[in-house]
Amino acid sequence: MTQAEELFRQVYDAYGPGLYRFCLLQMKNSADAEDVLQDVFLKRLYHAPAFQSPEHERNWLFQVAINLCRDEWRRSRRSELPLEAAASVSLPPAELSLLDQAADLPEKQRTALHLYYYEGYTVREIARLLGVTVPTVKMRLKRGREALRKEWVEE
Amino acid sequence: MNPYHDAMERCTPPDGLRERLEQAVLSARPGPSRPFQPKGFRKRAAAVLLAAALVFAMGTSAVALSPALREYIFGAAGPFAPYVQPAQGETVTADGYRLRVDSVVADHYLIVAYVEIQDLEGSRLRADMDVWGIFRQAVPKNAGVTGAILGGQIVHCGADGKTALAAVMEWGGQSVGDPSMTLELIDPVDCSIPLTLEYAPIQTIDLSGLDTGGLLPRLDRLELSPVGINLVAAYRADATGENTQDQEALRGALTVHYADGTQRMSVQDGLRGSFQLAIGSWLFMDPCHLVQPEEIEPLDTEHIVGVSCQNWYIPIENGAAGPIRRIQP
Repeated sequence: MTQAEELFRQVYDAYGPGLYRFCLLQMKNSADAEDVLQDVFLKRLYHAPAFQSPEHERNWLFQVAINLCRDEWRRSRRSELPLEAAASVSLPPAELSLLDQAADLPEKQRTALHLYYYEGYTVREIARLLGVTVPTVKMRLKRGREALRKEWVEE
Repeated sequence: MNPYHDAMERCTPPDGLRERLEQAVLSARPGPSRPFQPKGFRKRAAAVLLAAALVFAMGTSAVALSPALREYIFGAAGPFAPYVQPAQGETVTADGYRLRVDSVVADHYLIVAYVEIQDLEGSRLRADMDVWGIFRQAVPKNAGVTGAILGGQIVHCGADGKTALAAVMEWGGQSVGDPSMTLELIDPVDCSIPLTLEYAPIQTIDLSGLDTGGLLPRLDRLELSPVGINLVAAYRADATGENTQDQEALRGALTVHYADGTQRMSVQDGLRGSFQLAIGSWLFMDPCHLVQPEEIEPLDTEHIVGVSCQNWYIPIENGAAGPIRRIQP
């Protein structure tokens, strides 16, 4: 196994599915999500800095994914496919409704919400990742929560 | 756990994702961005990249009939050749000329389009012809960008006057986003050419909510690309001449600071946009010489640790920016 193959497998095992879910939420289209994910991995394998820790690497990967999704989202019109169709999965109606509502949130809110409620980042970590203040992240989370039905997101 | 986490967990990656990704990534050539190297090496690397881009483009271009055209485009783009992107342009015919936008170098606020022109009726094309035009976005969603600097020149003209390559430049006139647009060419031919841009890689750093400490107007984002840096202020609906004086802080040359202590100065700077939507725009591609001088290098955006102008400095780390610091001008 080459060094690149080994590195790819390590990174994919650790972060691949999570990054895919993030890209899918942003792009609402499995093919676009896969394209962005490919670019993320290209950057990781060929253009990444030296990482000081696994957290550093994870933060860097999500920062790259955020930027690439934003660029792609601006460049191409977003798919209006429901997330269920985009993800090719079958979800219970309640969960499907939740994910579709989350995917329809403004980009800044859904990014903060996903990083907090799925990836488990703290508010302070999200603030650092997005280059905004802690109160800004709290506001985005608050607005995101308010836009979703209360029973779906519990502190 | 929470319901959102549980629902998202059910969105498993599609079958074969890992294998497709692995095959694509391991077989791909590294893109134009590259590991940080000392300045001298970057120059040589740029030359190598240029040669590689030329070979790649000439070998794979869909426009197989005009490899010479590709060579002229990359020659005009010079060190920015790795960032030349194909434009999905239509061919139009007007006044006996056939025109098509072949490719572009563009970020959200600078567009350089390379236009192939053929004279179908004679030999009227000359190297000293005036060239200029305006790019109109198909869907101008972000109103408020009102001013632009336009330019253009013939960068190659066939000796028989039947074929030419023109470069058309617009700086500062675009609002972010919609890459579908029309080039309304005024000279040398009055016509409209539809095209869809492909942008160079752009890193966007969200600055909304950042405390500017009175040094700068409220900001929305910082955009970094190989051709330039744009600092976009928050949209101000109630803008007047009096309450937008803080936009003056966006004027003047920008210094880019790298991790190794080296610095780069912008080639051109300008306060673009409008009262409502101020944009500090700093170019590292020369908009005045559309055959790019060889000594100008694309901006290495991946290893920037800060940008400064006038009396402010914005540190950048891991894709995030701030807090803004006051510095001695």
